[in-house]
Amino acid sequence: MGYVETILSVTGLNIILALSVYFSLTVGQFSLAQVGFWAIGAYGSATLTALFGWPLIPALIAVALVCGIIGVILGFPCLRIRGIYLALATLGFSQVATQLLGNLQFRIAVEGVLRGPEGLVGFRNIPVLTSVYGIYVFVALLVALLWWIGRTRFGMALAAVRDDDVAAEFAGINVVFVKVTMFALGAAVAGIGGGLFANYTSFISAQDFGFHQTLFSLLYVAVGGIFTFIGPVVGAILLTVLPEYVRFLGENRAIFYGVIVLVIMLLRPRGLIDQSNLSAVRKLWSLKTATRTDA
Amino acid sequence: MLFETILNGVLFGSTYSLVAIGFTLIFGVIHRLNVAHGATIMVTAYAGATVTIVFGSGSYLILLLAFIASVVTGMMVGLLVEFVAFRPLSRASYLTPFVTSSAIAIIIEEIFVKLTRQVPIFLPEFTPFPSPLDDLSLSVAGIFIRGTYVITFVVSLILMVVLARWVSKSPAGRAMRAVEENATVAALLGVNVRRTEVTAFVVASALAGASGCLIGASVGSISPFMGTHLILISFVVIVIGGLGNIVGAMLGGLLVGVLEALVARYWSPTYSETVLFITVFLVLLVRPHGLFSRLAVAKD
Repeated sequence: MGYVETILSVTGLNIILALSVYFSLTVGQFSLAQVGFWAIGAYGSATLTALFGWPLIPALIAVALVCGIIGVILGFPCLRIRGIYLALATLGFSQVATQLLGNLQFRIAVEGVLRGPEGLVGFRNIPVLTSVYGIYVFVALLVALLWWIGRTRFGMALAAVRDDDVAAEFAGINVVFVKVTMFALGAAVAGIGGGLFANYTSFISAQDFGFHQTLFSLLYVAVGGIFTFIGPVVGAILLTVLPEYVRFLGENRAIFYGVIVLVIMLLRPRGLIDQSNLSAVRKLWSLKTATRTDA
Repeated sequence: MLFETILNGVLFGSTYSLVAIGFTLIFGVIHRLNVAHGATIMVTAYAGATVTIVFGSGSYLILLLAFIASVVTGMMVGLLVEFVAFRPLSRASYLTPFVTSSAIAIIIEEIFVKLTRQVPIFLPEFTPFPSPLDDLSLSVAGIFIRGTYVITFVVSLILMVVLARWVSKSPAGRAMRAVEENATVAALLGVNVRRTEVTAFVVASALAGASGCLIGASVGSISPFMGTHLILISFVVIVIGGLGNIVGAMLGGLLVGVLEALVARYWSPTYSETVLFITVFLVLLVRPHGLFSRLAVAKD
């Protein structure tokens, strides 16, 4: 039970991370800041629950608000920065957030026991307030939100901005509002994900939010495909579950991981899920329903 | 004291310049970030260390041999990276080669984590890089300077001057600048774009090899994860120097070396990355394309 449950929850958390990257990608912004927000969410929620005795949900709402506000503050200047420079600037944000939080020394006595972040040693004894179910409830909420956004006028505006933001501006779309909103939403989602992570594992340290984690957040999205939100979900599931199936490779697992990513990207530079196989699935689906109505 | 810190920063910063010049050279020609550049440097450092460990670290001749081994290894790894991660994707968006080169970096790193556990001459985690320069030091007017830093600086400077002349004067260098400016026009004018791209990769990776040996020898130890730190440093340097700008990368590398030394001396080494990345962020806010960038907006 324990093993399968761990894999499932790690997969769920990775889906949340991948989707948070996807939020700003929907408007064509390639952000590596998500792991930074993830760290802020994790440390924030851990502090609120472990030191101040908050329940999980208010703590998550609080970190979502904090990350959302930082996202807005960060989102405006990031409008000026594009492409690779944006990736580097947001990577900078992640590195700074991780390093500052990872070195945090803030310990107070709770019920006679010293608790709190202990510098490089990490933040131990965070109350476990969520389970695999809690994680998947949030995943379901996120998927529902993204599915719903895709059907609204706002979703169409997003697609327009992603394809050509100048044309979208001329069509009367408030590009600044759209981009900053998605950036802040992605930040808030990453914050909640980080909070769930902290209150699931009960122990966090700077190592959980390093440069490698940032690379992985990008790999999930790139392997899955950035065309729909299904892409990041598929990418996160594949890259979390597949390495578990090749345990027989032992220490070579990480190498195998890199090879999988490389092969998938070389064969499908746009990711596994793109427009063509989505429409193929849709066609299949409509054929099925059509035959059903015939009968 | 302040002067000594700054001087040491400049001297060691010259290796960062070398690392970043290689990185920026590749970006200038193909407009893609090579995330595997750091891993390439790590491999070359191990190649150099192998030579000094196997043949003994007593003489300068062996150090020279190690340097050559590093440079040659660098070229080979660079060719491999270009062939696997970049050539098949010449038409894809910049995101895809970023991912494939990250994947290669992960693969190389993991291979070396495994190698260092199994090859008896290496140690897991940190392997020492013995060199005859270890005990060398200068003391001028009360200022203490490590000998390795001076030699590192001199070698880097020579390489940079040679490279700058090569880029501005040689036919291959001119072809490179032409491709950098506009690949289509360069191709129409008879420049072999494919060959120029491979040349850029080989030269950049040879520089990576040189910096791998120099960094290994002056730090004194190497590890499979040293590349990650160096790739982050190169990100910082090229943002400060402007992507694709070689002189910017030289100055940026020295500046980063000084900043790192100052933060380590007067605050704490743990926060050097924080200060560097805050600098990056501020630079990008003021100038969204880097301090000395000449590249147009359209090229992102």
